[in-house]
Amino acid sequence: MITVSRRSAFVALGGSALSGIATGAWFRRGPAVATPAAGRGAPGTGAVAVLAARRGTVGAAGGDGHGGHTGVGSSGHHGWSGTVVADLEVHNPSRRPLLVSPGQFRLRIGRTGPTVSFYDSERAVGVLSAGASVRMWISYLAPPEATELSLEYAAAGATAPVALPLSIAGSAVAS
Amino acid sequence: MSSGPSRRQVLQGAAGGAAAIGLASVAAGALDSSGAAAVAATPGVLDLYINEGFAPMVDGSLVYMRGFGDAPTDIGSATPSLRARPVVFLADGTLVSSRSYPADAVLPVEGRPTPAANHPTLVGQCLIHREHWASYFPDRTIIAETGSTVRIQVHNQLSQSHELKIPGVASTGAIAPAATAMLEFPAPAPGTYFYGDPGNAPVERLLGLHGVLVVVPAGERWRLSEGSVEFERQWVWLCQDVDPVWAARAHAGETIDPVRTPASPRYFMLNDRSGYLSLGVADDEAVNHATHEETLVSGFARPTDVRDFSKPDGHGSVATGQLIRLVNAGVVIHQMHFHGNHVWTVRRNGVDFPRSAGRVDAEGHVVLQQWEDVVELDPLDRKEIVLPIKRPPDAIDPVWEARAEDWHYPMHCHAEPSQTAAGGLYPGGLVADWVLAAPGSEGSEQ
Repeated sequence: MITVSRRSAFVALGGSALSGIATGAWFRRGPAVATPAAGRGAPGTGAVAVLAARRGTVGAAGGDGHGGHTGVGSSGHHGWSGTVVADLEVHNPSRRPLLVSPGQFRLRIGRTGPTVSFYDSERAVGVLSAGASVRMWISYLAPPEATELSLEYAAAGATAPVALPLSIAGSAVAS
Repeated sequence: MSSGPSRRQVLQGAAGGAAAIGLASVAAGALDSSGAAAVAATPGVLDLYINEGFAPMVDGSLVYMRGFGDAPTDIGSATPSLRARPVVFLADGTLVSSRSYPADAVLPVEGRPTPAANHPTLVGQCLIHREHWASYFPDRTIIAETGSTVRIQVHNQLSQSHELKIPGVASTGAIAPAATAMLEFPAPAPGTYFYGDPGNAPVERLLGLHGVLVVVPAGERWRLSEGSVEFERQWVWLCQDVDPVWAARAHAGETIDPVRTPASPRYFMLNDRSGYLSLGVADDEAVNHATHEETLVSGFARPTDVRDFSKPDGHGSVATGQLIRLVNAGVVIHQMHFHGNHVWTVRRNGVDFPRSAGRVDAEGHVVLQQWEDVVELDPLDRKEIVLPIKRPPDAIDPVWEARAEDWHYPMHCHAEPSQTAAGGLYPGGLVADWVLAAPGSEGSEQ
């Protein structure tokens, strides 16, 4: 049974990004949860929403086409055979194209644990036109037992990444 | 057990959103310029712009970099121009934008020269074309024929002074912010040169302000220098290290003290690619295509005689391999390790190794042309080597004679951490391969 969260978390990055989307329908999907400070001369920044998050197993998560391995418990080989898949939407509220990369998103394991590079993604790094949005899934290897997970989004030029909480219930739909 | 929507479902879902669109390829995207106009091109003059921006690493993270681009862009650009496309200064005074050289030579499909004929007596081997194939070059390469005059106009788009220097050859001197400097010099002796910004060494070059100058003897375009090593085709391999912490500090406007806070690179590139990207196995076929053409050495087996790379093979050709120009723009002592065949080291930093009466220099390096399994490449080193595209010595007859497909051999840096990315992703670093093509595969895809 799949586990799906319908909780959407939104992040507006940078003052211009916030003002740019505040008047649009896109913003009304949810509240902004963080507004990080932009660094010197930061390029255009995206506004990000986590549409859903769910668990999977290596090879099956996100339909990466590599064939499915049946999940093996982490205790068996001390590796992470589970995956977490996040469905995202990135919006470019600026008037210039925006470089968007799945590698800007890292999964944090636990409140103070390590962050993990993405395992697979629906889209490669690319340019998002001004005013456009894109949806994509990104998967991560993660310990199956981990419950407190979050995404961190590092906008180009931002002074610090922004945390995006992930809501994943065991096998139930989260509120 | 189901784990979620299929790839098709996700794609359909995305396509159904009114505002959801795909991401345009970075490579295919037009430059998002700063609004600053490029200067009007002057015939015979290469305009380089010192720009800044964010570049994707192999793990998808975006790292602040500087570079000598060929168009003015600003830090807000999604496609900053951080490296210039290859150009050629011809002996007749013209400047040509071209990824390949010589312009009148035949372009090898996917970078792989095909044979002139099967070898009449050696099973599974061939005779090669002589002075026939063009070579592809990576971005950041400036080619100059002997007799040409190199003219480069450097525009500093940034808020601090920068410089373009070719050690031992020429320099712009410090270029103030928003200023332009003209660099003009006769092409130096044939060979391989590094160009970069020596400012606060090695900080500026590590941030991306670097490239390669290749000087070719105009009358002997398939030789390293007049009367020197002859080759079938040539390659430039530029080794690069990236420290994202330095990069972030530079972006924040800090002055980096490389002594107090030494570089700790987390990304290692070969011709601006790492890992699966530099191995030509990306999802993006355009990237793979370019990688095969300009980085991944490939050819058909032929006899090679290192005693004389121009030795007639008795059938109208010569017994030579392919030349690789190694340049290290980084701070790591890279160790270029080739599987399959050893390579023949020819020259270091513009000085040919002797063929006899070798010596050991003060740093313990052997100064002698020789077979090498690992080629040491100190920071800022330039070395020319020949990779013999020949039957590997450990291929016994039954194996060799049963060969029906390409043999891929790794090349990786033996400074092992540089095979990784982001502190551990393996093999995400400075890796490549070379291919011994299967007999009869001429014209087939790699």
